[in-house]
Amino acid sequence: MPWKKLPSCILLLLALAYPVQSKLSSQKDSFQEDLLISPLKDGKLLAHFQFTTLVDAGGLDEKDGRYAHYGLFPKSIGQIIDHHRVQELHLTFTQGRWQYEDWGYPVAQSAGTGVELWAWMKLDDSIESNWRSLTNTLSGLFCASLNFIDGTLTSQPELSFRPEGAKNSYNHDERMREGAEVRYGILPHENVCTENLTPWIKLLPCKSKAGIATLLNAHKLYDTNYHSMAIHIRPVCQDANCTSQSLELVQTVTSVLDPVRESGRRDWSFSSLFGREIQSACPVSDRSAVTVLLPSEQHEYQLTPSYDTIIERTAAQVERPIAVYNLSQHTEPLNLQMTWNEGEFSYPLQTSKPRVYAHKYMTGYGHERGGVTVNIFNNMNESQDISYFDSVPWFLKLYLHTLEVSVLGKDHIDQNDIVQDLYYQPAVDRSRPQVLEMKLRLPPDSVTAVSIEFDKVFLKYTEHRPDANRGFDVGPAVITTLLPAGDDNLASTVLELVTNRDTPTRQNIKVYTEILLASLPTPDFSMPYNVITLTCTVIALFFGSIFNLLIRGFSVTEDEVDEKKHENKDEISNSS
Amino acid sequence: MPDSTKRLVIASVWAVVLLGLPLWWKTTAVYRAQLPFSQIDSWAERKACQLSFPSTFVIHLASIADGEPQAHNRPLDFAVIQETITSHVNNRLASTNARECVEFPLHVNIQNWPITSDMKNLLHHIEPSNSKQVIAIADIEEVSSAVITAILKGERERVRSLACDSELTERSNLDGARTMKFSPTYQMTFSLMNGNPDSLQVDWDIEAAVNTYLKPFISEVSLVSNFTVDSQIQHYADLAVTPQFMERQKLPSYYYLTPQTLPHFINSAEWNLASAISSYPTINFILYIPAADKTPLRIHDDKGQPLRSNAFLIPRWGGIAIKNPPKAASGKLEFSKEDLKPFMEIFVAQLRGLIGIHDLKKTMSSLESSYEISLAPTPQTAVTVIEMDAVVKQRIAENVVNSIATLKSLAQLVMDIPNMVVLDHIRTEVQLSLDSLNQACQALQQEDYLKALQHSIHAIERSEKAFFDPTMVSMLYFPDEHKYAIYMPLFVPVSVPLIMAVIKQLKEYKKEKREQKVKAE
Amino acid sequence: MMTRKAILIPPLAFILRIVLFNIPTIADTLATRVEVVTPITSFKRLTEGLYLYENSVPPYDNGIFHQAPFLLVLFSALTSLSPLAIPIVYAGVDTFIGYALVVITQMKQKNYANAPKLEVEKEMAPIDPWTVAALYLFNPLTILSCVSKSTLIFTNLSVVLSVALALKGDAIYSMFWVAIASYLSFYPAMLMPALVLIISKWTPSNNSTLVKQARASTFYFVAWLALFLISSRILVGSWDYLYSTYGTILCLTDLTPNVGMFWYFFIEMFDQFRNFFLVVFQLHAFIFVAPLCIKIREHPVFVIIVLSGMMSILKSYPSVGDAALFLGLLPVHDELFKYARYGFLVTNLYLYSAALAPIFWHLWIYAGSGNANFFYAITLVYNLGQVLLLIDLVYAVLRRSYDIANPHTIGKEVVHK
Repeated sequence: MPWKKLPSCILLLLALAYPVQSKLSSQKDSFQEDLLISPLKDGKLLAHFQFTTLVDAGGLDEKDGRYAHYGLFPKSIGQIIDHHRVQELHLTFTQGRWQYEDWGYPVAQSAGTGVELWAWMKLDDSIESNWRSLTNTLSGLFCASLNFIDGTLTSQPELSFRPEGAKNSYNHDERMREGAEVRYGILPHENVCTENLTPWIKLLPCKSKAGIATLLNAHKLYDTNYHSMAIHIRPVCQDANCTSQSLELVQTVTSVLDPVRESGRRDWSFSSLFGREIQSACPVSDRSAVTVLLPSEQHEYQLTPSYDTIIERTAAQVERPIAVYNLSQHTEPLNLQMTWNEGEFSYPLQTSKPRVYAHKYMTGYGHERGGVTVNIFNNMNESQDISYFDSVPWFLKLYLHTLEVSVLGKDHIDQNDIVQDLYYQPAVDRSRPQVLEMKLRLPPDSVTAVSIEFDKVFLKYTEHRPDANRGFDVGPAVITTLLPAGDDNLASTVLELVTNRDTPTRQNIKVYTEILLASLPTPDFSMPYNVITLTCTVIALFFGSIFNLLIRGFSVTEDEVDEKKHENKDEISNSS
Repeated sequence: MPDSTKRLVIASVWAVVLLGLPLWWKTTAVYRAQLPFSQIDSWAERKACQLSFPSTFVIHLASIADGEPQAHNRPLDFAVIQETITSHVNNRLASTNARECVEFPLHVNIQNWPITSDMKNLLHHIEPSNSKQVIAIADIEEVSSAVITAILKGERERVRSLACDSELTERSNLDGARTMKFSPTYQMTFSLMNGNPDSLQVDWDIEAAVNTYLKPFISEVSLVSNFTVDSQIQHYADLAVTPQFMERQKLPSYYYLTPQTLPHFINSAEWNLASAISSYPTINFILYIPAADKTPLRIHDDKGQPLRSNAFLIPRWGGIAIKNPPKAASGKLEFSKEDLKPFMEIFVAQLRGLIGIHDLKKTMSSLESSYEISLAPTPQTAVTVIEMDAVVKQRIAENVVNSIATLKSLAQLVMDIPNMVVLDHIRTEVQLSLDSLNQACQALQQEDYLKALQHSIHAIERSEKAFFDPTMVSMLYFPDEHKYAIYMPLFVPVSVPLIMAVIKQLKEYKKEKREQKVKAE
Repeated sequence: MMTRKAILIPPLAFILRIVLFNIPTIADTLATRVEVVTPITSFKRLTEGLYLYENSVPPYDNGIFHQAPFLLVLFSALTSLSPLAIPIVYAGVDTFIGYALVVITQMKQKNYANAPKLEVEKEMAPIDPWTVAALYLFNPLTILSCVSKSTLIFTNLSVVLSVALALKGDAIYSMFWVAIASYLSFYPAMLMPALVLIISKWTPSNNSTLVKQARASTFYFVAWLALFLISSRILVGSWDYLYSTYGTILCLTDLTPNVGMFWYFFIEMFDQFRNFFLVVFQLHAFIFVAPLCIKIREHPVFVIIVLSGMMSILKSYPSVGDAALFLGLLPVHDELFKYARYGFLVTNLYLYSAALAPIFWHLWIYAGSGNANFFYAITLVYNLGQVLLLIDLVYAVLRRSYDIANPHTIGKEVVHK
């Protein structure tokens, strides 16, 4: 209802009493949006959207109310980070499997199917309740069932998932971890759909109304071979001495689209891929750019409209031309189009494999026991150190003494040469999962097999899911390693280059294996009362018979007949 | 077979069975802590403690210490005047209905206020223009009772309706519908909504504005509730309603919204107004900058005239102010602290309504007196002592009544569902809540409103904590027939021989005793 | 006196077991069969616990290892000796159990030489002690249990030794061995009153009545048990192992199938009644200790046989090793066999369940064409067989006593009153 303004005599300026520097809310915020398009070797197309929001976090000392006034940074994320005392947060929603052998390494790190959440949280008494509250809050924010990540699915990696923010260290540095602890949880069975995308888009300053985010068409996006949506929050240093920090929110969508599936040709355009064009750049963004990684041979393709800048062989790591379109300078809508000068696309017979990748599979048969084997491939000519992480749920009981690490075909290499370090946390039934972490040194040009046996647990009748015969999902194994820039992680090197950030000489690569489906033995779900009746019958039979035997004596049935005979005899003798 | 062996065997088996009985009880019984039902009932019927809201008014009568003797008043009998004023006020405010669930004791204190003659000039409103006229006692009484009546009338009505209407009747007055439900903490969010940033980008120095204009008010009101303040800027905030275009010939045309469309103004789906950490109720204040193709945007009242303030309040939710960007503006529109001052004034006024402060001017407008009465303003904190007092009393009444209602619902729920688990900590919370109610009532009688408010806040917090405890949902509901199906297969075949054995032994024992008697005779 | 049997039987049994240990298919298959091996006696789990223990991971902070700490120490010593040590130890222990059975039979026959007997029995020779040993050592159930490396064999050894020493009158060491058995498996504690009866009945020491003997023996039992528990705590470093070992036995945290009746009952039981039925089942295992000791106090060795039979049915994790112990002790009282009424039925039930259990397990777990009810039904049949055997035995001993007291009723129909 209408409200009258109060006379201003009620409010007087008291600027002297409350001296405060004039600071606009979005003064120190910055927002950048990027789209990277890279054709892949097998004719598919990688489209990677990245939206970065930076907010000034003040000095290294924490101030109360630091995150109270938001400009470009979304308030819901800031409140969650503040309230749960989170230092770093990574949440990824993935559907499909990233084919490392065909596509190289993804730009976004996390590629485990399902929903993966890991966070570095400040260590105090309430860290467990903070983690629980964090999963529930994120579950409500993104309409996903993250609240199922409870104690039975949470693990604390020791070697992998190091902090990536300002307090980071690519090497395992104890000092850097002071005051914070990591928590990791994954739901391999979770489906990703529009309900998760919509709240994610609402976190962007321009939402889906302007800028690159207008291309995010759910109909087209969820029709792809692989799609992954993530938010990453981490502190970054603003200068070399890290005297001031910013909080960085990176929202990414990675999808692998297949134009060959529709037309047989590799040609693509924004309208064919996404059904839309980019109307304009986001007005509040500092930079809004579309980057296309071009094939090395210029005659193979045509790219329209012509690009704004081209970066050609400037960095030693990249040997292909990169076309950059700066959207802030464009006034018309942008509809990129690339046509290839070829007939039908023919799949390459041999693709060069990435340097390190892995496959995981189950061995054995039957519902009683089985084994898990992970084959780790090292295609380089030198040995490589990797960290291996696997969190197996409690309903598969691993036997650590059956762990075998061997190199296929080279039996002479001893297990102790490969395994540098081993961390193992056994599972407790219904309480926590198993965590197996190893530091391995992979020999050059080899396939290392890590295998372990397990027993399947017989669950209670109520612990089975409604679709009990489908089985339970087991999360992927994660292999972390440092690799210099190369042909297989070209896309991420290019993105780093274009966003003008420091291109480190070595990048942290995470390789995710497949998820597994373990079918556990099921009881007959229609039988509870029958079982109770049958078992109790046997026990009652036992009890009743023994009890009666113990308290009753014997008496001969013929005694009475004999007595009667004797009586009759007496009578007869008496009478006679 | 010797009977003693048989009896020993039966006894040993029964010993184990009897050992099992308390274990059965322990493992299958529903744990229910005993709640103080009688105490809750007595509070619900308002028998436990009589709520009273005493007020004390101190009237300072000026008398010139060093002045002409005849200008001075004759010695006044303060006690008589006090009584007269009190009885006048009570007569005027006597309530019509017989049942008095709340008491309003009134104390009037008259004190002498000696002043020096050079301060006479400041007291122009007491000394009449004609210096020869003498102030009559009746005037003092009339003025005082008029003022006190005016102040107390609205306050007493509101408190009485809160405390006495046990059926929670719908409060038909606008004031009640507007006020937010009480919470010890509120979250206040200021949102700057930009309709279309393509043409105009916006930014504001909200932190400074809040610290300068809002903090004094908040710290004054922190007596009753605390506020946490945060803010955000939202771009591309589309309207859910379409404004209509008012074409005017001589004056500039504009777009307008009618009062019927205002309830739909908030586009909750697209504007990120929900709080991620919402433990407390949220009060939202929105500063809306319309898109370039919808400027200027005005709000019409129900007579079709545009409002000057261009702002409106949504009851129990928050307030909205619309700022039309200047025509020449393009690029960036930045609100400095001074630019935000008019909007903060609007927001503070809306906030006052939302937390239950009743405007003193309105209250005093019902005053009828032949004398001119002026009220001292509060330049800094935007809320006067009388207004705060009224709010405190209202909140105390609201808290007490609501916590009694919550406890009564809890007791009814527990009694209606015999299978519900009631843990010990729920009983503790209920006990603490009742204790706080008691202490609140006693503090009220002693006119210690601060303490009474504290205790009433504790009472409502604890009663809600008990009622909304997560364990209150778990019910061990198991249909009886299924229980029979579970117990019977084992226990019926096992108990039959046990019981038969005992019966047989008793029969034999009786027979033996009879035979012994016969033998003895 | 070394008869021919005495010379032949032990080495034959030993060699047979060593041979079977060296056939990997048999040894490895048996080590994981659920009928023979349970979560609290599995050798694979013991290896896992040992591995964790040797690598400084707390061996009881998991859901796999549920066995007593003394076994950790024993096997840690054995594995450090040589890989052959373990089969030799198992085969040796089994053979020694056979020898202990010989001792028990001999002592029992000596004690019963002057007891009242039936007319027919006065002419019949009692069973040869080495036949008893042979019946145990060559019982397929025993061999299966031994070759599977189930740690139940140590419990069986302790039980048998405690009976033998009780017959010899050594209260302290008899209580020592029964304390070891209870420490390892919990349920053998129910044998203690019967052992006290044995000691006080046949080895009258100066002026000790039953009550005094009972008090002394209880004291020894409790003292030994406390010693074991405290030294385990010192070995492992904390009291966690109590929850992992006895907690699993009592609260059935692991629901792996076995030949008992608990597992499926508690898979299908509703949560509200779970604790209650656990209490009922555990109490039920112990409910007949006192009545049997009171009623059949004349034949305490028989009480031990019946109690070991009850353990094999009513334990939370029974296996065929428990049945092996029961069937091994059974021929000690061979004079009861003539009263057995259901011999044919019981034998058939054993054979039937032994044949079908592996088949139905395979159908459920591997082939997927059967479900859990098949295997559950076989466990019911197996337990029913054992129940009938027990009922028959109790009837036999009571009828025999009645016939000895009333010789004219031999062969006649009797009815319970």
